[in-house]
Amino acid sequence: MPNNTSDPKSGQVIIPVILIILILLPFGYSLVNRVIAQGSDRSEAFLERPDAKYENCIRDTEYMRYHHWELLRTVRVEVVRYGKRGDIRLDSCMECHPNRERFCNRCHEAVSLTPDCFGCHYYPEIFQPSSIESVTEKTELIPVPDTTVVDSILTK
Amino acid sequence: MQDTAEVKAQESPQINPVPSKNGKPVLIEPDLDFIQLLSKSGGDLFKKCMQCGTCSATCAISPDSNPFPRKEMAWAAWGMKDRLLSDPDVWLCYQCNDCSTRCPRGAKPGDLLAAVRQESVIHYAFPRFLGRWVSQPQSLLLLLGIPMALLALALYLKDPIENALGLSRPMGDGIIYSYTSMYPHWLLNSFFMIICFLALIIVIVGVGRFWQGLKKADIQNGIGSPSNGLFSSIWVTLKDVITHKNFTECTKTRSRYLTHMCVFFGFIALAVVSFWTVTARITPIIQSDFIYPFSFWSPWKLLANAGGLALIVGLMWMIWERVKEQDDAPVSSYFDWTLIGTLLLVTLTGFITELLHYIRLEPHRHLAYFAHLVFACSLLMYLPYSKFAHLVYRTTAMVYSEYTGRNGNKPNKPGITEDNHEEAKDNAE
Repeated sequence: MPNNTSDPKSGQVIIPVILIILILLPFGYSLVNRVIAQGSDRSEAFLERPDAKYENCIRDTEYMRYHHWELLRTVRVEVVRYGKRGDIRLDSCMECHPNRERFCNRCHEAVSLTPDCFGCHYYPEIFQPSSIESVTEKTELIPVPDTTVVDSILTK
Repeated sequence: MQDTAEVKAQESPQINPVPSKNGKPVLIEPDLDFIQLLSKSGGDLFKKCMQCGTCSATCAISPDSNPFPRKEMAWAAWGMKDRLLSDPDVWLCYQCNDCSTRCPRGAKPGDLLAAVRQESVIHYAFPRFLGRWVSQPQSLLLLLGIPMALLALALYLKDPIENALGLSRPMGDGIIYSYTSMYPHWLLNSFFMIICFLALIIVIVGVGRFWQGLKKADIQNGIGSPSNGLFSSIWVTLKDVITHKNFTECTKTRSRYLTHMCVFFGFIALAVVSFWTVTARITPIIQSDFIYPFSFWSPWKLLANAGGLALIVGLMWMIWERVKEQDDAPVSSYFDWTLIGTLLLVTLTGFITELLHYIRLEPHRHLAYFAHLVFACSLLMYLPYSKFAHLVYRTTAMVYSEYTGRNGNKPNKPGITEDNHEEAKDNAE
């Protein structure tokens, strides 16, 4: 007896195969990214290290990594509503972290975040055209934050 | 080879027309409650059947030996519950309604098979009363309340558990701008893993019972032993499922091929992304390429959004097909609507959550996310009891049919459908 059950027409196969490939594409992308990152010893760094004159930040690194925006918001409220102007200012941040592109924006872009302050307000670097290039050459780069680190912070 | 409709309309000589025990005929005791149940869930016209067999002759996917749905119509009229529930054929039907449109009596065999499938899901569910609840509208609020209460309880216990296990986050609230402050990853992952694990166990119990029932019925009726390997049967079945081959056989409602394809692959895309977000941190080969929440242009985010859109398009199209007025359309029961509705609500609340996240509406996005989690949870929790269970029971029935070799000779039907007339003739030669 002929068995004509298990051979669908070619047109019926092509669409599902294309869809399955599309579904698997992100996995391939992640895999390729990972391989590239390994091959180049992860030299494509994620964040810039602070300037050489850096000693201490106003808070510890982990707090700043995840809560700098809360700090800035608190400071903004103090300045705007209560007129208390302290030491914490954006341009004092700029002294150690001069490169906005490679320090601030990397993270913000990765998480699809656009700080809405600078739609109206000038970014401090306009007033401080400090020698960004010369600083950048000296600075080391921090590698991509390892997820295991992020995870331990998340769950700690 | 005799591939004619006349041959198919007869019962195969293998099957005993009269159930007998030790050579004596057995008195058939009709299960009246079962007949009532079938009538209630959509198949209320099956008593009109006069056993002409047009349905079995018309059906494009019915096999030569023991064709359906004529015999199911008789069993339903006689209230032969055991026969119907241990019958793989009700699950081979895709309800294209070629039979219902051609039925001279308007008995709608397609709707009857759908009603039997619903009763099958309830019958093989564990615990059975939950299956009954899921298929009746009056339990809807209670059933939605259970996942809601479970999730609320999990959120209420979040801080005590974190403190007890030393999981408390010293940094205060919020990582970047994510949902972790309200719904930490450890909580969602463990909560949904428990739900999935329970659903999986219940599904395995149900499928095990179903498989045993199928085997027992075949032994009782003297139908032969397996003729194909189990793994090759699974492989052939998966190929048929993925290519949606049987949907293309239907001539009456071809659009279902596309709608089911949209929903099927959209759901798979979302399931893959969900699986990825849970396991990416522990996937050994790609451990550190993971920043969450994803950027909008991350391939994973793109896949998830594309999958969600495919689901919405497919589901809206399904709803349109069901509500537009058509005499020969299948009856849409509560059982059908709950699956479509739950899937649609999961997808819509997912998109609303995403939107509220992007426009930074602080309390609202958490509420939307809560609703999304409740619907997703009920989809998974009630998988073994709802129409969603068709994904396991239908697959099981298809594998069983392939395994026992019943799928071996599907007929070509010259003259039955105008479209593939020429093609069928070519195949016959």
